[in-house]
Amino acid sequence: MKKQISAYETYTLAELINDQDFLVWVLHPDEQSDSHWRRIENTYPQLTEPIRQGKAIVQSMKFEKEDLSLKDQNEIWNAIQSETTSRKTPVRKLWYRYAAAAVLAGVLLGIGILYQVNQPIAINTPYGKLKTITLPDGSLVTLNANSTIKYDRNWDKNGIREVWIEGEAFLKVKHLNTSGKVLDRERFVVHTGNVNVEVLGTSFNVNDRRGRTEVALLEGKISLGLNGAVGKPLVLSPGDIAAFEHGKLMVKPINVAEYASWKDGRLNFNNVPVAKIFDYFEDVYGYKVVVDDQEILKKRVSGSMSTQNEQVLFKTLGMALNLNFNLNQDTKQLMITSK
Amino acid sequence: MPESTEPQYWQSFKAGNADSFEYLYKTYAAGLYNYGSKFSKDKDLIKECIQDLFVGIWTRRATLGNPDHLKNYLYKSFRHLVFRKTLQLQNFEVYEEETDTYSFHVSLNMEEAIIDGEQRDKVTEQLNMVMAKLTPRQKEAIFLRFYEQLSYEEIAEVMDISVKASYKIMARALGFLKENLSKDDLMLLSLLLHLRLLN
Repeated sequence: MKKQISAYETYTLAELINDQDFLVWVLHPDEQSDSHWRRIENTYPQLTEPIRQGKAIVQSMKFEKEDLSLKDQNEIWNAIQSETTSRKTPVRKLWYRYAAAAVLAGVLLGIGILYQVNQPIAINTPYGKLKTITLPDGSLVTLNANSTIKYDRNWDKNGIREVWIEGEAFLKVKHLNTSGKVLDRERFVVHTGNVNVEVLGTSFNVNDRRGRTEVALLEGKISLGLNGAVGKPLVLSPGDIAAFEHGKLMVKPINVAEYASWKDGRLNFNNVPVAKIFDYFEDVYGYKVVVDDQEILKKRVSGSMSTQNEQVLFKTLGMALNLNFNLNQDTKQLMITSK
Repeated sequence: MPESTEPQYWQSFKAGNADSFEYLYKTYAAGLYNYGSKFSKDKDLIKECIQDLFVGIWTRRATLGNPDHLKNYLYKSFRHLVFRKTLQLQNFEVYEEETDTYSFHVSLNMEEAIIDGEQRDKVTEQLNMVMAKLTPRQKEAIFLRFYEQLSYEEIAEVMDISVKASYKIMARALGFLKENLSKDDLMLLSLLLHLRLLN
């Protein structure tokens, strides 16, 4: 029921905004309410100004809007059309995310902004793609394909720097300790399924796949501790690789630079069993490797090849091993047969 | 375009008419984009979800029903896609849509016309500070009610909750705003927001 017009005589701006009828009128005006308020204004001219202001305030409260540009709208539409109209020729999906490195960097930034202060940032890579991530302290992480890194959005100025990794990553940690006692803020800890890696400033490779964790150290010093274990941590020297498997931690020297060469778009093999390389293809490219002859798996290979182009990589390897590589994109099967 | 023709477009789209499909896309793309951008700052993710949504309904057009409210249906499906895609990106072990683990960002602004610059900035800033403290669900409900002007029933449908829960979420959100927006300048806005949302 609407109030008597006389009730409005002494209304202030605040009271107007507080008035349900006034709000309903401003938000959903109709002929009836229009004339009702016109009458009020005519009867009490002193209300003209408060009504004008009140209307402005009510109408001004709005949500910020994110506009879809016409260009973007058309771009999405074209992508939809290419996926819906031509059935015969498989059209590649418009994966905006992977369009270019520059876009990628922007997206990473976007992902960073996405989460609330206390929520961890989680970045993962699809099959066949690497990402380089700069952590809040300036440390660099190269994430191999099919891998995930998580870390807190904001790093406490005085807290330990911590990241969680699944898959494989190469880390170049910024050295903060300059002298004497190591403060918490100078510590950097990488958590994997089984192993915690504690570092000061250094570069190393972490590989946590298939229930096995490998940590290879390029330079600096790191110590490894097992999750939940109290014992003395294991200290690695540059050139060492530590592997944790079936509850045991083992250390041996390797050529670590070669080992972590994936981050530069190359793979180096030094008398490596082919089976191991195929595991790598499954982990990193998401292909199921099928061989027609188990003997193939016993071959060994040495050499260095580029991973920039999958086709070229397979061809090179095929030539080196005298094998045929046939990729079925639909089933994601990589068929390997003897020539 | 009068609203009564939308079911006709939907029928024609289901029969495979490409023009009707385009009409639906053009009608909803911008709104979906705006809605999606509240969940994620990753614009490309939102665009991919819009693409997936429309490719999806086109592919399944023969088996789709006749939703009472097409907008709700699209928003709801789109919301699922955004969650799923975010989940893929995050790869969290535990991800429950039903808890408040997602994020929803809204920010309010005021037109320059009414209050002078400095005071406007102050009011807007304070209001947004309080808004930021609401849970994602509360913010999303407010957005759907306030901006998209959905009813409580429609909010419940889009957010996949009971109607009772949608009332409850809103009441909590408004209670919180009221409690935290009670000083001087904010008084007006608090009352204003309160009443508008309860209408």
